[in-house]
Amino acid sequence: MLSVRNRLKEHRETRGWSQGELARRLGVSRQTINAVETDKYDPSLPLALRMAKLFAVGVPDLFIDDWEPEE
Amino acid sequence: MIDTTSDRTAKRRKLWLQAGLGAISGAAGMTLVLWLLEGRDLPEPDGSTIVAAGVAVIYVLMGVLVGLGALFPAAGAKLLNVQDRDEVLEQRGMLISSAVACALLGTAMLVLVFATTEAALLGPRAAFWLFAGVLAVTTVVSLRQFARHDELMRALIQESVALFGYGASVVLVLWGAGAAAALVTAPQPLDLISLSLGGILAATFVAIWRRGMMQLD
Repeated sequence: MLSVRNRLKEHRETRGWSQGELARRLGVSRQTINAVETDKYDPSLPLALRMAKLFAVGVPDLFIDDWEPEE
Repeated sequence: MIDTTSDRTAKRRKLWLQAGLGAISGAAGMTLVLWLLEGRDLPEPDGSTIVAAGVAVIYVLMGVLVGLGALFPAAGAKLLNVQDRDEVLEQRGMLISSAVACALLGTAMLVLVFATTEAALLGPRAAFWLFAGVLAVTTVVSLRQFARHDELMRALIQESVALFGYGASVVLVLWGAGAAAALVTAPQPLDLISLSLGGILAATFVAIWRRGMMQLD
């Protein structure tokens, strides 16, 4: 399964938000935020875009994929 | 997120508590059913009846435990697969409706399982319509809940259904093939119900386990 790491927790804590607060702002459950932060769930593209928009960063700044294309 | 040793110990303790309570409740439930049947001069129940009764008891107990967990959030935080008390409160409505649905389905299944025996609470026809009615209601409840779930829960449900589909197909095809070759007894009607209701439950646990969500961080 393809999986990426993310910096969601870091961005959330920078804003001083709890998981519940972030969940409320994004319209998802706290369980979903927790699962994303602990790399148990990769969010859908629409949710990833919303997260990036909320923190005013690009998606690649929030989600890190170590994959590199072959030369 | 990096776990500390005490976090891991606490999670392990919670998992053992959940597993232990489930096992004790299951054993107690089955003992209760067998005790109720005792002394009625009934013929020895066959394997299909015992398995179906076991699945029904699991549903009833799951409904009771989830219901109690939802009604008493402090205890629910320890017993249920949730992060903390607040999550129980956030999910309370959904937990209660799921608990009621599970308990009703398990009870209706128990009534159906014993409908053709001396221990019948209702005749076979009434037991069937009770079971079908409860199944219809729980299906509607599930569909309404699915519409309200966010994407994580939807993904988990879709994974569970896919796992169940693959698993049940393999079991049924192999069982059917074995029966066609006269190697094993063909599935009985109760086996199909047990496989469906027990299978979807098992598939849900596997899907949650595979995502590493049995112990929440």
